[in-house]
Amino acid sequence: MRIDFHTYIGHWPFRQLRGNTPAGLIDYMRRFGIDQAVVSNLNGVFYKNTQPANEELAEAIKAFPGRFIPYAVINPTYPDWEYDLEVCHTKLGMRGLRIYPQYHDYKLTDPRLAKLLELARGASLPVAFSRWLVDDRQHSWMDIGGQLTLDDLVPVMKDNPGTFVLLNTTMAPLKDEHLAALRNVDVYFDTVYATACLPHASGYDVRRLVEVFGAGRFLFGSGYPFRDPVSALVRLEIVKEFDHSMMDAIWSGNALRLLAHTPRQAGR
Amino acid sequence: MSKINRRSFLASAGVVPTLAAWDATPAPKPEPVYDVPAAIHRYRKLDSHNHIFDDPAKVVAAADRLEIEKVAISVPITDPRKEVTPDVFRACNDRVLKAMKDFPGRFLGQCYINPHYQRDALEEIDRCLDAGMIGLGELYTQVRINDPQYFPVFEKCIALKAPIMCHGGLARKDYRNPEIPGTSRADDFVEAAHRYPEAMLIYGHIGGGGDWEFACKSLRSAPTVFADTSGSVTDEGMIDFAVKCLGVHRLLFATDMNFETGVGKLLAANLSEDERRQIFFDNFNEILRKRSNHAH
Repeated sequence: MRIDFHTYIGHWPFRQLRGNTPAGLIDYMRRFGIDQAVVSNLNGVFYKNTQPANEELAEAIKAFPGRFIPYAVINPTYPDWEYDLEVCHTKLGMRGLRIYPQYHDYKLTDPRLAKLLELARGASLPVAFSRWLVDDRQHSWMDIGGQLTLDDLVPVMKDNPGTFVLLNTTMAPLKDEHLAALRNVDVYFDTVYATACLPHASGYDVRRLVEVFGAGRFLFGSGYPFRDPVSALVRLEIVKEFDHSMMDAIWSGNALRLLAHTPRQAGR
Repeated sequence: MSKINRRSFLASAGVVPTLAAWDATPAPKPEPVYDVPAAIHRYRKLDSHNHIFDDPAKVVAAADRLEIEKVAISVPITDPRKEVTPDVFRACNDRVLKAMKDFPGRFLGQCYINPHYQRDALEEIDRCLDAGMIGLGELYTQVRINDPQYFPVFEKCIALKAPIMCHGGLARKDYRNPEIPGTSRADDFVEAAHRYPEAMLIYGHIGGGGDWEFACKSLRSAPTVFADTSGSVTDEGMIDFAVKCLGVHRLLFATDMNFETGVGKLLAANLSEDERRQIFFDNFNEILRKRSNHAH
């Protein structure tokens, strides 16, 4: 079984995306043997009020029961977000949150984020941070851009109990103090920038990090349809050092365990 | 008393289900799931842009995982604050020559120079190519590729039939980084290629982090410039767009240390088997053939 923990529907205003609908994702999943996908709506990055993006997502995936695990986009600095979060959790069947401090214009030290993390923890909803959405070097003149670094993220995760997912994390620069802190945090990493070849500025050595954290922290993710669908598969297919149980954990076992903590509340 | 008719007779004889199956339209066979290891194995590969900043043995090991036969390597100085004197670029090239010797048949050396030191640069090209290197690369941000300081280098490489691979950067509309004024943008490559259309100029890494749409659209007007597909960016559609702008024959497979994605982005592109073969292997091999450095 394979679960892709990192996919999107919706539009990116600065570049044409293909396959950015539930039907497009289903086509990708069929071609590459992906059983389920965790998905959120990119439109939520750009709507001031993110809730319509979550409603769009919930409606769009109805036609494909059992294939998608929706994550809501919440902006904790916009009015009434607590209500939106509750609706997403209890009525729209969302199983986690994706937040975009860079695009929603708040600092990671904002107390409203701490409140969101507290509520998410109470509802057993993992919170996913994305280090970036596009490489800063190619950002549009209209795009704010900006990256979250581990220096930014580690203190937030350390100081706010909860379950976290790091998407698009390059783990660079990965300092010893990060490793020490992350050992005590319930955090998962996607494999978008994992490498079993040469670690470099935009990749992390998945073999080394599995030695540090164990295989239980890693989730297969493609970043599709931002990123091509095959590179993500190649990254894991060529790892020869992991045994079957480790690979099964990364392909789906860890995702299933994580999802078991966040049972679906709505739309049964 | 029940009446026996043709249908009930056939049913009692166990024939009806067979006929029913005969009548039914066969269900379409599900498309087989994409076989990644088989796809990796299917193509011969020449990596036209890579480096040995680290241990060359690690590069060979990584190439082996992806079944890459030969890897073009160089050691450019990427720190714009560092002065690249002849002693410095000669030392870089010595590392490449040693790696070629240590791993025979696996590395294709690319000679790195700073054209600001014209006489030393031209002598270094002779030294490196005589020692078996295949061309120039990765020319970095010391001097822009369209700067007149490069003209003698172009003349020499044309005479030697040697390809010239240069770092393509700052691919964003109306953008120059004043701290790295020597960075070559795609439009600088276009200008150089228009002056020297006989040169085999290679734009380094369309996936190197810049705006690849900007780079590909810029390079369209310079039909003699090749572009390599390397870099950490694996945006869906990038290769398809490059093919649309430049054509298959102008694209060269490369990883620039991003091994998995270097291969993955080409496997993901909407290409025919033959087109993929050209990019993975044939196009660069034809360039190498001009100096008899090609793979057999």
